[in-house]
Amino acid sequence: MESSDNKKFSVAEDETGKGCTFAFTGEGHTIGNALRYLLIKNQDVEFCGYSVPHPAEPVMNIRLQTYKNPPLETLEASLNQLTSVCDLLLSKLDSKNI
Amino acid sequence: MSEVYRGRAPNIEINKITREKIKFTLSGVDSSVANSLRRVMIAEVPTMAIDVVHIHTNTSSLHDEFIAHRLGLIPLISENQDNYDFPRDCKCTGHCEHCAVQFRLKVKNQEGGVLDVTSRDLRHLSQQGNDVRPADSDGPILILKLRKNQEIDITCNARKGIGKEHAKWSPVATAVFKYTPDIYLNQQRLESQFTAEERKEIVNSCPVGVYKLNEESNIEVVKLNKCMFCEECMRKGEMIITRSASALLNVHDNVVRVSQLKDRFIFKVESSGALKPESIVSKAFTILTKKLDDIKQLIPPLINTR
Ligand code: SF4
Ligand SMILES: [Zn+2]
Repeated sequence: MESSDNKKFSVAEDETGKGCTFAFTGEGHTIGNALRYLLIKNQDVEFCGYSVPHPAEPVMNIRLQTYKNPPLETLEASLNQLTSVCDLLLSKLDSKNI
Repeated sequence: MSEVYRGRAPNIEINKITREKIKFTLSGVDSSVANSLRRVMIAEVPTMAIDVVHIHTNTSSLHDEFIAHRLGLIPLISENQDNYDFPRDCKCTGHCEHCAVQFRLKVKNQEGGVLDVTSRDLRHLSQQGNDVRPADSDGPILILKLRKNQEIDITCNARKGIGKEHAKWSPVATAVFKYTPDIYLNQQRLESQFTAEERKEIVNSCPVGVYKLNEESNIEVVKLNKCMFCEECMRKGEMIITRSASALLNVHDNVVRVSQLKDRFIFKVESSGALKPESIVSKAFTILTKKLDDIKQLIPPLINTR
């Protein structure tokens, strides 16, 4: 079973430093597709795609190539972006006071 | 942040809430974000469900596994699930009051006839955990039936889990979204080139009753959100144009046009009874944020080691 403490994250970096493949253990389409969308909207991103190589394995990969900034920083920025969207929507929902 | 979504700020509007259902509109986000929300509601919002079943006596006509499965599927009120730990996170080795709520089901049919055993026969083994109980306010949930002298004696533990592991922990019965429909009616052409009879044909072509004829026998959109994009109304409009004399004019300029607003989503979420529908939605956002935080926690050490 998937447990909260076996979440892992690893990076395979190209020699150029402009391309990275990130492997997320314990994540899937839920996060993958949303991050992919945010990343391809980023002007600095040359290429971004995600895949879940096998549905029985809890691994999701994101391939990211950038023009200028380090890919890891770009990824982190997209994580923050998605967090702020969630926070904003949650606060809007809470303010409805149901 | 908001500028990534075609210049609209993310927003959420609630259209309708009942005890078991919520309808809301999520706007200013991409479909991938809407889909994340939907996936989290289905598979990652935790609830309590019966998970470990000890069968002491079972002389009923159903076999043990079948009963265990039926017990698991009974929705348990889980509003206080935050007070419980996931069994894997709990320090105890078996079960304790922090990770499990124990029930006993002990029934014997002594009177003859057929006796229904329902969720109302489940008794808490201890005082603690009374907040976790079957969500059966709409009527008892049938578990099995006993004939004369048949007997059942079971102890079971309700534990916390998520729908990803087993569907019994999913708090929703339905969690779906669709794009917001956008209907354009060329009223001018509808009035000048169509007869009242033809307008009525268009109104009747919609299988879900989106349109209505008003007093002047003009087409009016009355139930926009019901639209399911079948395009029957568009086809009917085209057909009428083609068969009438106005075919020579501009066939390709539709009098009725249905399109989708791709950054406004109409959500419909039905609870299984375990959680209030509105708390399913707000918990889903919290969980999504937590998933992202977990990933962020894993990133900094990597930067430093490089
Ligand atoms: S597309 Fe289908 S459901 Fe929507 S308004 Fe037209 S006929 Fe009705
Ligand atoms: Zn425990």
